[in-house]
Amino acid sequence: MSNIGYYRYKTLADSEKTVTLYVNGIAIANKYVVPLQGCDQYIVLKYIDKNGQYRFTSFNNRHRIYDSPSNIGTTNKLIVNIFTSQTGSQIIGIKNNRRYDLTGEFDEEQLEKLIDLYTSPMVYLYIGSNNSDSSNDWIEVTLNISDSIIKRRKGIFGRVDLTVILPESYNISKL
Amino acid sequence: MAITNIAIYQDNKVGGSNLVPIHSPAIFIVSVTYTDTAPTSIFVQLLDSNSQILGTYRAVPLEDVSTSIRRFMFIANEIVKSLMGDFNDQFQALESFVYIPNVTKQITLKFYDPQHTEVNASTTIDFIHGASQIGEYPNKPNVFNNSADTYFALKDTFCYVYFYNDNVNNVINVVPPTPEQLKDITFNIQDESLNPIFEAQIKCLEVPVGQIPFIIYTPVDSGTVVQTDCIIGIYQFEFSADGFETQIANYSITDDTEITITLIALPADYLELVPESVIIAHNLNSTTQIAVSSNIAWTIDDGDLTLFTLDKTSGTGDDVITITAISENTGAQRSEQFHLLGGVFDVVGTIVQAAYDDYLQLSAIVVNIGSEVGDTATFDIVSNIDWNIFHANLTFAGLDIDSGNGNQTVTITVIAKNTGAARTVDINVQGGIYNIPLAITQAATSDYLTVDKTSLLLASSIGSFKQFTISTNLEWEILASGTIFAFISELTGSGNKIITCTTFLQNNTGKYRIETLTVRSVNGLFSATILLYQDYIII
Repeated sequence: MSNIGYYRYKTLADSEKTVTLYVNGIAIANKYVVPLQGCDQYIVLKYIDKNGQYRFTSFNNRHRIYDSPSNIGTTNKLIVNIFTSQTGSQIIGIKNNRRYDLTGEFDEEQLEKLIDLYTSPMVYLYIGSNNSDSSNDWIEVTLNISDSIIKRRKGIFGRVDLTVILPESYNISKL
Repeated sequence: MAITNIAIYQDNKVGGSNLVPIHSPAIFIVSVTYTDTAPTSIFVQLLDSNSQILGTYRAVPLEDVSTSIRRFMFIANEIVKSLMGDFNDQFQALESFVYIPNVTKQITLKFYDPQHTEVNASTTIDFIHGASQIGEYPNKPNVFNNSADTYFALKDTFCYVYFYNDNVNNVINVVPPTPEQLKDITFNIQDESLNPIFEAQIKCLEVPVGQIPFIIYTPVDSGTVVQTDCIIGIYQFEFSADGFETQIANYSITDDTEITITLIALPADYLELVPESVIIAHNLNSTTQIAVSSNIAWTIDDGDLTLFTLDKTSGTGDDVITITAISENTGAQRSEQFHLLGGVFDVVGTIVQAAYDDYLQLSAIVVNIGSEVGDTATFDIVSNIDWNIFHANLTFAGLDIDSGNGNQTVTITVIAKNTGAARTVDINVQGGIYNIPLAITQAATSDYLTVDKTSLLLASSIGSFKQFTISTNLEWEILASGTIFAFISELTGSGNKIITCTTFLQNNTGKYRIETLTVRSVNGLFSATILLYQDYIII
């Protein structure tokens, strides 16, 4: 009549709510959904935690986007006329690694959940809109582990700085 | 080397949770008891929830805890990880509640001696893509027990809430049944004299076709009601109470209802010796038998016996005890007693050893014979005197001799087939002072009639058909009752047969049609029923 293992309820975090599990019609367990206040431009990450559960977290809009373009290489170009030739070497193309520097403030309970983000093998960045949720609304990203420091003190909010490295971006090149 | 026992020493189950993560060490340890030289390895078989073998591995020695017990360990995490599915996220609709496969996998670990596979020990684990830390429990009790947890998400975006289910029989949801949806069912359980045994209140939720209903039980102290199956609107319940036979019944529940169930009382406890006194010959090592007739466990107190020994001192139910004389009687008749104990009973058995002069004894006190005409069985009379066999009650078998002298083998031959349950008739062998009863038991009939289905669901359209198989060695007939909506391919016949049921009416009534087919033998001794349903058109 049912399967052994995880069952998952997907709901909208529009307000604080209690989700109750009914086994054979009897309330057995409660779980709680807590919405995090935010505004537009928030960065949403999804990651799998140490219990095999996908969780969500969000960072504020004060993130920084870094592009690190680098030259793929150059080719020499023969100068046949010093007056009309434009250059003696031509760039083949540029490759770019984009990363987000994220910052957020989290309370103690949120920080406890967030620890698994740093050790998760699966971290996704939300690129969709209007609460669309399909595979093309998420891209898999990696974290810059060396920057992964959670600063926290018991009982107070803690600041989390995080660098997310996006998949390689593709650009026009002469190759 | 001989392994005599395998016992699981460390199964990683704590607090009832068998949910073991595989991304941290998952070590299983068994204690192996052996004789002679110590074993160097034992095998571990991994089986899925359908008992299919996933792989066979070796457990390696860990430590010797004594000269006859060696512990072996099986490092399961890496092996099981390779057997698990991936844990990519799956996408689901908002406000939906769905099962998430692959994150967990139920596997049975069977440790066994490769030389003697019957020596084994098993444990079933639900492995999970997860990790525990040093100092934490080796399983996930908080996840297993659905302890309170908080899920954060950006306001007005979606998030997931996870629950763990540990029982396939659970009906689970995150939506409670509404009072309007629930049907109140009262079961009045009574005995054959119509005296109430207990009452059970059940709330049953009607759900769309194909879904499973909620059943909410009101606990009762004196009995139980369990829903055991649901076949599209037909609910099967099992009723049980102490001292009564368990009963299973099907009901179509569409509204509040009250149902009366009559349970049949189990037979009262009994414990008897048949006969309570037996005679054994005067010779050393002569034997005789005495029967225990019982439906309970029993023991024998033979502490007062000095002349005889018994081959059994405990048992359950009917049994036969062989008595052996360990002393020759060279004088007058003598006797000793023993006690048969069980429940509230204390039955005294008397063993009489015959005087030196005469003896008469039988090789058995029960002779079993087949059910068919011509079947034979024998017993021996050991004696030094004249004897007669009194068998007027024996109507289903005959004896080749009914009187004689000295040792003799008597042959019994069946003259009337048994068409029902096993039956027993007592005859007596009499000679001198002896009058020894002998029970002749004819086996139950070998006839049979079974069907391979208990229910069939036909589609709503005309021409929908399903089949069932009759297995029998008898002539049979099929009787139908209820709403007749299907052709039955054959209504009479003999021997094995596949029967086809084909609808000749379309069901636009808005509810299921039900027809009950009774397959019974022409002699009326065997029958089986099949519930035939027809689905309906949803308008």
